[in-house]
Amino acid sequence: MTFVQQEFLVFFALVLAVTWGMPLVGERRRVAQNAVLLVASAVFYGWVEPWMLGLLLASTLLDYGVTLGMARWPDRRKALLALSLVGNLGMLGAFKYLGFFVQSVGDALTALGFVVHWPTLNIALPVGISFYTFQTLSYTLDVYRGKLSPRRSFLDVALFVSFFPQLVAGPVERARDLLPQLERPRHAAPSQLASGLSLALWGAVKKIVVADQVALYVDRCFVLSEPPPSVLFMASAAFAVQILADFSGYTDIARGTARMLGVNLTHNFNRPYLAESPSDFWRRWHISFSSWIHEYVYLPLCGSTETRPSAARRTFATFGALLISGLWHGAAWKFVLWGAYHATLLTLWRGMSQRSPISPPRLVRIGLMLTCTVFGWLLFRMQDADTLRHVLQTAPWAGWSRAWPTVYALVGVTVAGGGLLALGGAIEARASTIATSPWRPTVELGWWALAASLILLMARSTQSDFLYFRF
Amino acid sequence: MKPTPKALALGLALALTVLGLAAVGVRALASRVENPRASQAVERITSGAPWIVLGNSVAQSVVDPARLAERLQVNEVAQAAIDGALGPHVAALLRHHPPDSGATLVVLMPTHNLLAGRLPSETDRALLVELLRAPDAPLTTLALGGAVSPLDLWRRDRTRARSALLSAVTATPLRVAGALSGVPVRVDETLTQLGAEAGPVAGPSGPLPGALPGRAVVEAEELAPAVSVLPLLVEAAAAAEARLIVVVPFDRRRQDAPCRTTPEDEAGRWLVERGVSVVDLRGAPLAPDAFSREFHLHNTGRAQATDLLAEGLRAVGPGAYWSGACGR
Repeated sequence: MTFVQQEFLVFFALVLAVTWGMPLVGERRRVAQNAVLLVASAVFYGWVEPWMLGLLLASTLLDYGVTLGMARWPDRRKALLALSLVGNLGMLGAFKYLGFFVQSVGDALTALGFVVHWPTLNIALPVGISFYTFQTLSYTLDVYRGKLSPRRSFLDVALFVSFFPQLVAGPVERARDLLPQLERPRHAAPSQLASGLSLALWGAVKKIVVADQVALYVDRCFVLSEPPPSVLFMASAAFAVQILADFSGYTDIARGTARMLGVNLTHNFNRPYLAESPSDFWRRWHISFSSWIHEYVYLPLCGSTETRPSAARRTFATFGALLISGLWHGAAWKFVLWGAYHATLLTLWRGMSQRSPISPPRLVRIGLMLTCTVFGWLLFRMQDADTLRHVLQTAPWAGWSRAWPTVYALVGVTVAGGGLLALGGAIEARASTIATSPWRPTVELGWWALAASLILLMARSTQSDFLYFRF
Repeated sequence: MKPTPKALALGLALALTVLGLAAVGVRALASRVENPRASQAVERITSGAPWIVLGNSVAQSVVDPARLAERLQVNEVAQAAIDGALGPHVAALLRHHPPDSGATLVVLMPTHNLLAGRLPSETDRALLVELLRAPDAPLTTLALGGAVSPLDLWRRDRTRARSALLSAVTATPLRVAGALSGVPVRVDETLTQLGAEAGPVAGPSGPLPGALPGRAVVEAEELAPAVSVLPLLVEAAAAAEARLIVVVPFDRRRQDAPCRTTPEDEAGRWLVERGVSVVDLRGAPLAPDAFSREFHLHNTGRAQATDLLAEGLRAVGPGAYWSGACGR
């Protein structure tokens, strides 16, 4: 089930009514609420492919057992951690990367002149496996490091792994943030319900009114054979708007619906296209995942935390973290290339900023970073290596006489979509002022009506999935 | 701070005003624009051309109207095919916007599209409503499951308004550039493909290179010929005193099909029995690399395909069947 299906509205209304309407008090009410949310999460996740629930359950049971084992047999913590890593990453690898690995090895052998007749593996990718695998691993890693005590309640741990608003596309929550909220009694507060609805509607507007409309144009440009480079560059700029609207839209719906259920999820985006440097971009884009990679991949690769790592070690860690980050997005070389591109940007920027005595003005830095980011999206979005080869081998202005109306049309789409996102972001930044105003209900009711009108007017007849469902 | 009843009342009033303005705005916007796909087809079918091509994107990819006119040695061939159209749309176009008497109507679309029953998507339903000029119970019962409902009218208005908005968004930079440079811009139909559902894009250029993909389509139910739109099509053609020729398009999957001398499919048989000519191009000798998809052709394959189609149209007699596989 996805957030923009009509079924979800009925489903969520039911969950909300049962969660807040149950005639229980105290701990019994909390446990019952968590049980309802766990069942709801199972329904949400297994709506189309119930077999995928088996993997989710296996992952949950593994980490539940491993963390309890760590408490019981402290001297075997390392072995238990290895068991969790092998189990979770093994499942992720088998379902997400095995086919890609087999094909890549086959292609390499064929290129070397060997005759390879391997069957093509068509393994179904379980939705959200990359997200919940990282989420559940963070629990085990935090328990291993002593930052968190293992939980005895299977219900709470299972709900932490499978909490439906963020199950399939994040934010990737840390156990230390989400678990305590699930262990506390939660009460319905009208202001929380209202602000959650406002946020969820803003997410839906981003997805339906911006991302899905921009996608109409972007999708067409990226399947053209040998398109003029100017079309591809402008389509990449439009894609930058699309992917931000799509992914942050999902996050806002997730955060809004969770808030209505009494749970606060972490921020995932902080105006990423206003980043002034590559490192600043990664502090603003997909924050929950970037910080996960930083904490559990980059820092361990840097080695000791007590001494400052050498430049070479930091470069190694940067490339390691961003190549994993790229591959996490999908089993394809273009994502690896995208990760390597960003690692190169980070390394170059670090080197330049240490040597350069002057810093360009802020607007210039933002413009430069935005240009680099848009080129990165070209790598991320391109259909195949031929597209990149074509772009690199063709003069940027080639085909301009035929391409310019399309480029201008894409400018219109990009400016309109980006403008709407910027306007919404500016209003969102003043949400706290609105929240304390006596006119809050007026603003909220007006916004709900406006959002509903925009969604009804602009919704496509065939709704598309969220982009990050594929990862 | 606790909300006051005054703030709540004002909020409700504001919400109702916003919703009302949105409804009025959509209606006002929709009344000022038409669905470009539909209006263009209507304009062409009623243009007085002696030969008219009807169908969907398959017909658009197969037929070069100027070349076909030349091969058939006629003044003009009008291309009235509508991207994304199904059988009920062709029937609506013909029944509600009849061509001049004596015209020859060439209907070219895959048979499963032609025999489509209940329209599956909102866009399909909106397009049908767009083409109707008066209530048409036989057609709307078949395609919509009943008369045109207020919801169908809302869908039509919504589609028009959305298309107009997206068109304005894409056209504005061009118009600004045109105003600054003094070069006038016009809406170019070739670029309407760029936005698919989105409507026209302004601009003076020719088509972009490469094959454009189709929309994701929910397949409609395929009906038996006798209960499909075929009887309505035959009836409408007769009422307009037009000659109807149904063309079964080139099919990449059937390139190796053996030569057929009789219509092997039910629809073809049904049409021939009622005096309609059928040209079957499924086995015609078209190079496999001419295809971009199963039925759609690359621009490079269009000239050869038009020539093969012209050969079939010239050869087929009234109420006869002609197969491209055997040249008869």
